[in-house]
Amino acid sequence: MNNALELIGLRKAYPEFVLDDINLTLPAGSIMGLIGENGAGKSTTIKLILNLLRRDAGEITVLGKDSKKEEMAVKEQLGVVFDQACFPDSFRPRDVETVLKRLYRGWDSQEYSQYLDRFELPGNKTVKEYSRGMKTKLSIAAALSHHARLLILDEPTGGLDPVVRDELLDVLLEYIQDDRNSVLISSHLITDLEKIADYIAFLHRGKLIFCENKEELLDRYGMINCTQAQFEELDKAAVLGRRKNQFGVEALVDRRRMKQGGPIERASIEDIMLYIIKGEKQ
Amino acid sequence: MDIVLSNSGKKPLYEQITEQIKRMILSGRLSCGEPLPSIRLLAKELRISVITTKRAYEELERQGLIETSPGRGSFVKKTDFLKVKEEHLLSAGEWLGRAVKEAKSGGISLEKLETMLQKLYQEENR
Amino acid sequence: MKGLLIKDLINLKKLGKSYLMLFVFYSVFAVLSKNGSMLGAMVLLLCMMAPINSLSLDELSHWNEYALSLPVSRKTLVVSKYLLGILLGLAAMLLIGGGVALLGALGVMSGTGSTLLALVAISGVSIVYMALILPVIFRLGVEKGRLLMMMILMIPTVAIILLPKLKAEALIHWIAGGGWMIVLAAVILIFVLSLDLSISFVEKKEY
Repeated sequence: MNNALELIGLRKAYPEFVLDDINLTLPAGSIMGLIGENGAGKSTTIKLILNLLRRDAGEITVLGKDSKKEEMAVKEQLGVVFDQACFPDSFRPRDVETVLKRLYRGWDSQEYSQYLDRFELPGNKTVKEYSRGMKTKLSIAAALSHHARLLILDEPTGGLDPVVRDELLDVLLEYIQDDRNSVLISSHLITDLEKIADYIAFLHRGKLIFCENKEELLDRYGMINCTQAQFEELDKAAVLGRRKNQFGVEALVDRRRMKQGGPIERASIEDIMLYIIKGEKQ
Repeated sequence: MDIVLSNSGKKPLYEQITEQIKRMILSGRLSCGEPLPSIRLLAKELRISVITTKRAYEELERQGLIETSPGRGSFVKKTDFLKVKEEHLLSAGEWLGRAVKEAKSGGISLEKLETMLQKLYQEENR
Repeated sequence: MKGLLIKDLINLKKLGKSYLMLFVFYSVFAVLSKNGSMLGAMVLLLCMMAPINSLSLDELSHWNEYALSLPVSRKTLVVSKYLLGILLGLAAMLLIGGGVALLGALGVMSGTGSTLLALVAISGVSIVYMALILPVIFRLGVEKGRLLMMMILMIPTVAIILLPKLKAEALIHWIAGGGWMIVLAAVILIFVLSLDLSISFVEKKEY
C-alpha cells in the first residue's frame, strides 16, 4: 500500500460554502500539512474523511480501504486528535483507558502509560482540571496507543504554548520513524508545520490550490523585492501575489515562469500561502 | 557526525546537509563504507522533514558520494573520490587564479594574499 | 458497546452520588410510610433519566464527534443509550422489588403485592417515557430538545393524574385479566419503534 490517504473528487456543498473537487494523496510514511485560512475547509475535509459529514461526491480511500465500505476497519487504524477536548470532564487518564481498551482491538496499555509518563499527565486529576495543553497531550496519548497507522490532527496546536507545540512536533517525528505510519495535520499556524511537513496541501475557500512535495514547492516559488518600475516589467504570468509599499514591491513569483534574472529569494510556506491569497484578491 | 543547520533562509536546508556531509566524506571524517543515519533518524534529530533529508541523500548519491540500498540504508561509497576531489581542485584552482589576478592588479603582495587565505580557510562557516 | 456503556457509567458516577442521597432519603421515607411505590417511582425515573443525562454530558464534552472517529458505528451509539436506560431500570427494579418482597416476607411492610404491581406499572410508564424522549434528543440535541422534552413529560404525568378519575377499577381488572399482554406488547412496540427512529435520525446526522 503506497498511499495512506487518497481523496478523489471530494465535494461538499453548503448554502454559503462549497468544498469542491478536492484531490489529495498522502504517501505512506509522510507528514502532510493541511494549511489554509480559517474557514477554508480544513476541518470540513477532515470530518468528511471520518464520515462525520456526508459527502456530496467523491471517493475517500484510507490505508487502502474505502472509507465507507470498510469504515470500522479503517477507524481501528486511525488515531484522531481534535482541536477541543473530547473526553468527559469527570474522566481521569485511567478512565480513558478503561473505555478505549474496549473500543479498540489494538489497544496497548504499555504504550499508553509510557505516553502518560512522558507527557507528565497526572493520573489523579480529572480532564476538567487539566490545562488545554494537557488535554491535547491526553488526546495524543490515546491516539498513539492503539497502533494506528494514520494520525489525523485537526488544529491541535491552537491555544498551546510553544513548549507544548514543540513537544508535539517531536512526537510526530518519532511516530514516522516507522515508515508505515503517516500523519495528516491541519493548522493555520504554518510555522509549526513548515519544518516537519513532507507535503503541503493548501486549501482556500473550499478549493485545493495545491497539494505538493514541500521541497518542490520551495524550489518553485520565490520572493523578489524590487522597485515599482522593475515590477511593471515582470511577466505577470509569473507573479502570484504582491505587496506594494511606499518604497517598492514585494512579490511571490514562480521561478519557472520568470524569464529575466534578478535575485529571487527562498519563500517560506507562509509567504506562499499569504501571497497566493493576496493574489486572489488583486 | 555533526550537522549544523542555519535557518537564516539563504541556503536551502537540503543543500546545507549535502554540503556538510560531502565535506566530511571528502575530508575523511566519514570513512569509506561507513553507514549514514537513516533519513528518518536524521530528520528527527535535526527536526526537519523526511523529504528534506531524503533529497539531501539523493543529491549525495547523484554526486557519487554515497550509495543507498533499500532495506539496508545509506553508506559512504567505497571509492577514493579522486574524481570528485579533482573537480574541486580544478575549480579551486580557477578561483585562486582569479584571486591572484585581482591581487596583482591591486598591488597586493603574495604574503598578504597567503595570510588572507589562511584566515579564510580557518573560518567556521566557509 | 461495552466500552460505551462503561463510559456512561463512569460519567454518571458523579451524578450517582446525589442519586444515592435521594435513594437513601426515599428509602427511609418508604419504610416509614410503609409505601414503597414513591421510592420505586423515584428510582425508576432516575434510571430512565440516565440516558438523557449522559447524552447531555456527551454534548458538553463533544464526545460524539470523537466517538465516531473510533471504530464505533452510529447504530451502536444509539443502542448503547437505550441499553443504559434498560439495564439501570432493570437493576433498580430488581433491587427495589427484592427489597419490597423481603420487607413483605419479614412482615415489616404490607400490601407488597400491590406495591410490586405498581412498580411494574411505573417501569412500563418509564420505558414509554424514555421511548418518547430519546428520539427527540437524538434529533434535536439536549439543549434544543429541552422544551419538547418538558412537553412530553406532561403526557405520562397527566395520564397518572387522570387515571384514578377514569374507570380505574375496571381498567385494573382488565389488565390483570389478560389485558396486560396487550399493554406489554404495546410498550415493547413503542420501544422498538423509538429505537428505530433514533437510529435513523443519528445515521443521517451531520457532526
